[in-house]
Amino acid sequence: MNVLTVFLITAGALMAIGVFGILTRSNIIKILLSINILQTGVNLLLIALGYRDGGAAPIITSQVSSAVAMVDPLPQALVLTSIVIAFGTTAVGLVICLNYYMTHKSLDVHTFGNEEREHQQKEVVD
Amino acid sequence: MKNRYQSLIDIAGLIIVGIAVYLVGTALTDTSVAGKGMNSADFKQRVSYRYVIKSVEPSAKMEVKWGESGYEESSANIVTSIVVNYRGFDTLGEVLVLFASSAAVSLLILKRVPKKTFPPTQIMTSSVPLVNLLVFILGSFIILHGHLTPGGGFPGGAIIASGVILMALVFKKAFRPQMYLMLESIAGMGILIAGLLGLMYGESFLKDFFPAGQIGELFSSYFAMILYTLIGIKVAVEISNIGFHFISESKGEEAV
Amino acid sequence: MKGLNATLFLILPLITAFLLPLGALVHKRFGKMLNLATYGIGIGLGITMLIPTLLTGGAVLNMGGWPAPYGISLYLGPLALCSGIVIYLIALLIEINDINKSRTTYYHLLFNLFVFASIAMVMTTDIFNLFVMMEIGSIAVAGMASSANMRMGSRGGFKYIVMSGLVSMLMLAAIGLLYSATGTLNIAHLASRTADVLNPSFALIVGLGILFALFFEMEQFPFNSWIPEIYEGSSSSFTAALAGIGGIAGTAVLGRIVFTLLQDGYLFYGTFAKLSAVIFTVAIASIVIGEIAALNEKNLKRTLGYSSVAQFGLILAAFACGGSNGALAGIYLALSHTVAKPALLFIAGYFTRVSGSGDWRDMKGIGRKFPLLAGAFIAASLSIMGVPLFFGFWGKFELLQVLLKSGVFGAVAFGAVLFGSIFEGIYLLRIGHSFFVQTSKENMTRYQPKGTLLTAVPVLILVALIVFLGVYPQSIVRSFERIAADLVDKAQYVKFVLPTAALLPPGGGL
Repeated sequence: MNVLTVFLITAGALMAIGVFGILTRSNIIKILLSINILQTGVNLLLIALGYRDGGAAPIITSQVSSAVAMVDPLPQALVLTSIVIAFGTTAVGLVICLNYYMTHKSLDVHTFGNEEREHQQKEVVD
Repeated sequence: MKNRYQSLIDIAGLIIVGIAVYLVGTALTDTSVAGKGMNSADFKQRVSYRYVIKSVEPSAKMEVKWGESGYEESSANIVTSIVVNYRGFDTLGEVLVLFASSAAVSLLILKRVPKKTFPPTQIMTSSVPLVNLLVFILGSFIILHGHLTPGGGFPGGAIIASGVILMALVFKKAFRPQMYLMLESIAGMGILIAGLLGLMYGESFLKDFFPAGQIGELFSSYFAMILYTLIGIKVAVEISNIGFHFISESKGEEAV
Repeated sequence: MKGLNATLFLILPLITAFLLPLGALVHKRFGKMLNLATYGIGIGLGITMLIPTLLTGGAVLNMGGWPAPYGISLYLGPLALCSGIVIYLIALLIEINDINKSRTTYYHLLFNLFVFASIAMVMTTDIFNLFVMMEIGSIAVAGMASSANMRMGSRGGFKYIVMSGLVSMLMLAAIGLLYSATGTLNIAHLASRTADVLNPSFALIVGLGILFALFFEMEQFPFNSWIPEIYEGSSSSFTAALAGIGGIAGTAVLGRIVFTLLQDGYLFYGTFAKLSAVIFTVAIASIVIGEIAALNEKNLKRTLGYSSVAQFGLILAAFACGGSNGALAGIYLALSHTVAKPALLFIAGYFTRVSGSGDWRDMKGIGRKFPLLAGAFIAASLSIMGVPLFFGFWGKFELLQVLLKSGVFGAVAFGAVLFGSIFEGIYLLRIGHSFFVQTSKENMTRYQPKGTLLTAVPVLILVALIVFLGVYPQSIVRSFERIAADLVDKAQYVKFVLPTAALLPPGGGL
């Protein structure tokens, strides 16, 4: 049970929790939170796949030159991008949730019975 | 209201996710079948090895040491060299993701009548100016030292944005959309101009056309510093823009 | 300057997107004029590069100056260039259609970012860069889709964000796993590896992760719960962008992944049969479910949305067959859908505005007042159905031929396609017929023309293209074969994108 295995199992658990939340929750904020948990799990998976036992941080310092064994820097760059993407989608998701709440007056994703009212209201978009 | 079938849905979800985890887990860790599996690429065979030893061009491979100069890429932080230089186009894409989400929030936000608002407390009004001083200094430090220490434009910009949002919570300062739009545009055009200058002097878009500096010095990698400064400004402006929209929306004030 | 044309072709929407906020402070109509100019210049640039690219193969842009597996390269070959020109053309027609509608600066900005992301998606040779461009596209789509009607838009937008989040994270996990097994992120590099073969179950997981994201992009069955609300609840020009631009970009990306990365490569050796079975199943399910749903639908724009799902299923079935005939069929189908569906959506939007209702049963007799538009609707419908003399015929014909030679799945898909075509005929011609039905006088006076008839211009251009290419396909058959060859010929792709072997790390084709 080395460090790498712990990271991978944690990442897998986070991804599973996220997917479970997306499939089963009915509150829209909880669904957004589950997406975030899934994104965190995937980020952890990516970094864990670059891990190397005894590796140093990939920064050249006065004690560390390029001859020292370093962990893989590329997944770290990928995760930087992925975190920012997660932030972007969460921000847009929250605004859409706000609009959803203001028009449906409920945070439940299964708002039955609204379609009929809409067709009667003749609210058309061209 | 609780859905009657909620427990059934939960159990169904657990079964589906459980089966998926089992199948994926056994598939990924199966070592009895021939062929490469997870985590099987040797570190020296990966593309990132060339980033560590800073020798994509097949010239003489020197060991990269602190204080030396003349390498093909002059930032000490290898992750920064990847983000800004080797895979700079992905960073441009990342900046555009933030740009798109800031624009989407501005497009979709509506005004609403608040039920109750709370004025800022005494602790906040007296401590925010002091805290913000530290926050802005820290944010600028992280942005400017992106090629020496972990961090860079994105975390630094986010830190500065958190300071700006604290100010917005405390002061009744009016949010001037014009200034933010202008800053965003100018920083974005700055990034594109840097890229086009690379095309002019270096034959490729986003090429680092500055001479190589000494690894470990503050003014070694000009390209990383310029790009990260522009990115830091852009990120700070966009995140605080999103924050402002949410704050002013909840107060019932006119959003942009 | 070397590569200036190609770089500008890619960067142009970005320059516009960054100039838009400044320009909006100056003049209100700045956004529309700037966009029109941008797409026009884009088409011009593309056409100047067209002949050299088709004849000798395209330009390679190494971003940052670093050669392929170490940096990100964009390959502007025949497929990418023609897709780019079509994307700019559809964007230009959408802007012309939108001339009288009021759109905020932010909407124009998101639209430009969507166009940029689609063009970069088609050109990129790096799989993580593909992921980033797909994310830009999905955020822009979520923003634009929810902006028109708050009620339906927020529902559809929410479903879109959830589905996009789930699927893109699966793709990112697959990319991470692929990198950890092979050490590279470049598609050409992955396609040329001779040293290793992936473990079959591992390869299946990775392949499925990447494919699910592409199924979402192409509106296929398990991932399309957002289609009805977004098609009905957003403006018709935005749905035209989704169907037209999204369709072409999705097809080109799917083709590149299937033909270059997955098919008879060294990496995915042995799992392509299973992956192709999955693609076939999803395609057949989408065709059948899409057509049945379209038949039962009362809202005009929703019907067209379900019809898009089925048409994209046809493209998937074509690519799943593999080989250059499958690629050719898929490209024909993609282009004919991109030309016909936006025309139908523009007409649907205009008729919805004129008649005040989205339901096609409330549009009886509208064709007698606007015969040109209703006639164009029927022409575009005939193209989608695959009637001879219209452009869609060639694609369906090619597809049916290819399906017959593709085993059991091909035979089932053949049946599904025929069955789907019959249903298409029923619901599309039913709507066309009701446009020309004799109705009461007071119903006719309800239809007042709204806005200028500048809407008619894009529609007429598209229908002219449909008829011209249907009657006279010889004009572009040669180009299409060149594009299909570009898709299928892996050795050519690798030769263009990767530098000489001296730069690659030791260990063979690593």
